[in-house]
Amino acid sequence: MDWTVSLAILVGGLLFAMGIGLPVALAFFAVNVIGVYVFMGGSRGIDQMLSNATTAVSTYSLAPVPLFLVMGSLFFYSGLARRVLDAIDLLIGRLPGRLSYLTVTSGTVFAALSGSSLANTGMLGALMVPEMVNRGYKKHMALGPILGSGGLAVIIPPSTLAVLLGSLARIDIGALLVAGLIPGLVLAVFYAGLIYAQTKLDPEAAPFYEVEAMPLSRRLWVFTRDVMPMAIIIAAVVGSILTGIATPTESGALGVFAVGFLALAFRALDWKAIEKAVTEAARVTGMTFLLITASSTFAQLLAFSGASSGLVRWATGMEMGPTQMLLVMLLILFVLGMFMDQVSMMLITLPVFVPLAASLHFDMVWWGLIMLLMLEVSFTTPPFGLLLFVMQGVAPPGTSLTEVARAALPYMLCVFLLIALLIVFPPLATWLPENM
Amino acid sequence: EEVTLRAITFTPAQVIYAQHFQTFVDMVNERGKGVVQIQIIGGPEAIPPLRLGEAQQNGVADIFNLPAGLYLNMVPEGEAFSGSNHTPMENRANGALDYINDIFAEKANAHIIAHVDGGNGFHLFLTKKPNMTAEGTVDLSEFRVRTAPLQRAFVENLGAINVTQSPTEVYTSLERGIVDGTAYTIVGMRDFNWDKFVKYRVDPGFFQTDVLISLNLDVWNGLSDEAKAILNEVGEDYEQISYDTMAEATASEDKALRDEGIEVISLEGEARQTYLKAAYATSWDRLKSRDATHYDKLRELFFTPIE
Amino acid sequence: MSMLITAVDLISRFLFLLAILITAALVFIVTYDVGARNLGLTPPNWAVNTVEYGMLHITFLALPWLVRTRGHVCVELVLTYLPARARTAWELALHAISALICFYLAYRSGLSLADTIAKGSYEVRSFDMPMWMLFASMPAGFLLGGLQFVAFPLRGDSFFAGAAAEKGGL
Ligand code: NA
Ligand code: NA
Repeated sequence: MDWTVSLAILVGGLLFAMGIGLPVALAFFAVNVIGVYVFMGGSRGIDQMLSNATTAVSTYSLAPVPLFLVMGSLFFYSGLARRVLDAIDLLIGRLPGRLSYLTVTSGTVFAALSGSSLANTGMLGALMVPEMVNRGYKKHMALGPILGSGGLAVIIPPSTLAVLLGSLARIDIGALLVAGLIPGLVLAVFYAGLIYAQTKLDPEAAPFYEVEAMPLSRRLWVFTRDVMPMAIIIAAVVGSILTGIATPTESGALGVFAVGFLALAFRALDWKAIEKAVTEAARVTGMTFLLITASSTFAQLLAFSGASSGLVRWATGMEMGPTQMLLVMLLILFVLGMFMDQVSMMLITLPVFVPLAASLHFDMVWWGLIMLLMLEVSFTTPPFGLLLFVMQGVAPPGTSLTEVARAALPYMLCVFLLIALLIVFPPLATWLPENM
Repeated sequence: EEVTLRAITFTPAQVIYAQHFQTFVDMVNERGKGVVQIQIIGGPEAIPPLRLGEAQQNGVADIFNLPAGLYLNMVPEGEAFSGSNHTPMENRANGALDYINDIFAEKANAHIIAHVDGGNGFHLFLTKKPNMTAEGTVDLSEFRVRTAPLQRAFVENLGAINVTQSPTEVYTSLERGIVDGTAYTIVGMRDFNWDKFVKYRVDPGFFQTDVLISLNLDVWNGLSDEAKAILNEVGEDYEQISYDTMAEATASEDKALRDEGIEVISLEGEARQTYLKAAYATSWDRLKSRDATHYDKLRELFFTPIE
Repeated sequence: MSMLITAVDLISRFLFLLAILITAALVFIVTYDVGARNLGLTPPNWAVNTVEYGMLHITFLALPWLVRTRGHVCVELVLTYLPARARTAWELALHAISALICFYLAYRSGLSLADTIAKGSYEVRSFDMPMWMLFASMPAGFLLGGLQFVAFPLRGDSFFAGAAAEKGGL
């Protein structure tokens, strides 16, 4: 069968099944069943698919998802989050949209701790969104910064995806990791600029409310009492990674205990909070993992049927200049990213992209970073964007997928802006690794 | 009439094993014009490596570039390939391959045509210098070593704390000192960039990679004699060719690693024999514990006792 | 009928409770693993793979209760544009299709489960894990999930209604 036909059957089927309103995971499974019959030869294919499905989430690299979700929900349900945010409200004072800035800042910090976008988004979402909505923030002001900084986890080291890309594409992994640092910070600044613009255009989005004026001594006391102790959590998570006590994958578990310890110290820990936190984490984990299971079998089917490799070869087979070719690669990643996860995308595209990039004499570290940014974008592109789903899972009831996707859009544009900047000014990525 | 076999590899296309397999495919497609052709349809993005044994058994694809170690659950005897201290060519000549092929046919519905990329052993790569024992072998107590399940028991026997991690985590773990070393082949160290943190390598290597080229048995039985002959012929030639290419790749990687300043701790004489004996024992004991039926015969065919 | 629905709810709740317990266990297992390694004790060789299998089971154990509580995401594009009468019929059809998908997957994964028990096959990671343990939660999750989709219209409720009332205008 020609790859175009395979692609049309699978992607068309998926869009149809999602479009009519089936739950996304079941839409995937429905198309998988039909696709397996067509491409893998009937009944034995179904057995293969279900057997493949048992490997999708039983991989240790996904462990940060439940761990950081427990940590984030415990932080919220124990009331620690409220305490910290109250204090920060008092400290920062009148800045409009301060919680959005705070989200970007803590998102950047957590990006430097964890290598997993899913875990980052889950944790920050559980942590910040309910509080922000309580305080009258419009949803996009609460969801957007988290979706944006969730993606930062991919380019700010450590990053599992960067390590995988580096080893698959034979790029110096250390250089690739370091190269992400400055662009990551630039991106965080873009995000802050975006929030500034959003609050200027729509002051209602992040409602301004009067906070009491306080003398400096009082502020210092509030800071010492309510914010400083949070350093324990940071120490548990970051410190354990930096000192080699735990891997980024494992650090979430230590974070849970740090939050628990702190909540205990503030007499904020009770069974109710623990129960709610774990329940919430199990709920979001279950929802996300079912989606990963369903979509990864779909991605396997796309590969097995020759649809994805056909698309990649067709698009990259055109005769074009280096910049156009780079844009074609980005476009392919963008299209594939609408339907599959990042690891599958890499496995499918890199065998073609890497020799192509080398033949075009790209700086591989620079090129790898741009690929990573595009992979980051695909986390939030509908219809299949894992971060969108995780976010909807932790957002207040009644938050629609469209709403989440719309909140993510301006942040996605920031990433495109950064990619453009990198194309025009490559030293942004290459300077640091070359001078270390 | 020409048949086209659909192939699946266990590594992504740009990794050395898949590239070598591509060479095999090119050879078959050249010699098999009009009779048998192979088309690679994908790698781990199409079927997860842990489920390839099943895909072969089902006949979801026809021909596989697949290590025996990935489906020991189906054929525990497959461990004989990695636990062998013979070359694949020797095992073909002495009937070992034919013998184990009957087991693979029965248990995995598979037929092996070649053990490729052979002779490629595992070494301990360490970030700090190990103490030596009184017997002259390495003492790894105080070491945390990342291993694949295959090498686990052996590394623990050397006193190390075993850490299980996927290859993508090892870079960060070596960097931060979460592990003090890993067991891996010489080829591949630089691909993962682990050489940045590794300072010592322990010689000799033990075991060998167990990559096979095999077919679903029904597909194999359905082929014409002419097609079978071509596959067998190319398989046999390619076993030797890939053995040689792997040896060359290992030699050049070895040189590159030494040039980077990685120090080789070479065990000699009795210590070397003790070390190797212990390594192979863990592998063969495990095979025996899972299914002892063919143990004696396999050991006789695949293994020359170390004195 | 309502007793049956209550039973389905109870079992779904129980499966979700197991998912919650596994989630909590993950935190302790990972901490134990990290702790043992750093204290120079022998880390449990089962830790990493147990966490992996735990995550697999959370997926399917949480499935039915997530249906019950409308926890699975949908793209509510078409639904919002349908007139009320057509929408009701459409939602009924969606319940039926969703239930059918779940029942089919429950049936097929049930066959796989039976097959792995019969063959006694296992999976090799750090330790040998019986293969049926990997499939154990899948048929139950899909079966109960399917029943929950059936139960929604029987209760006079709709899985997709949440979207209508709360999400429609956004
Ligand atoms: Na990161
Ligand atoms: Na996407």
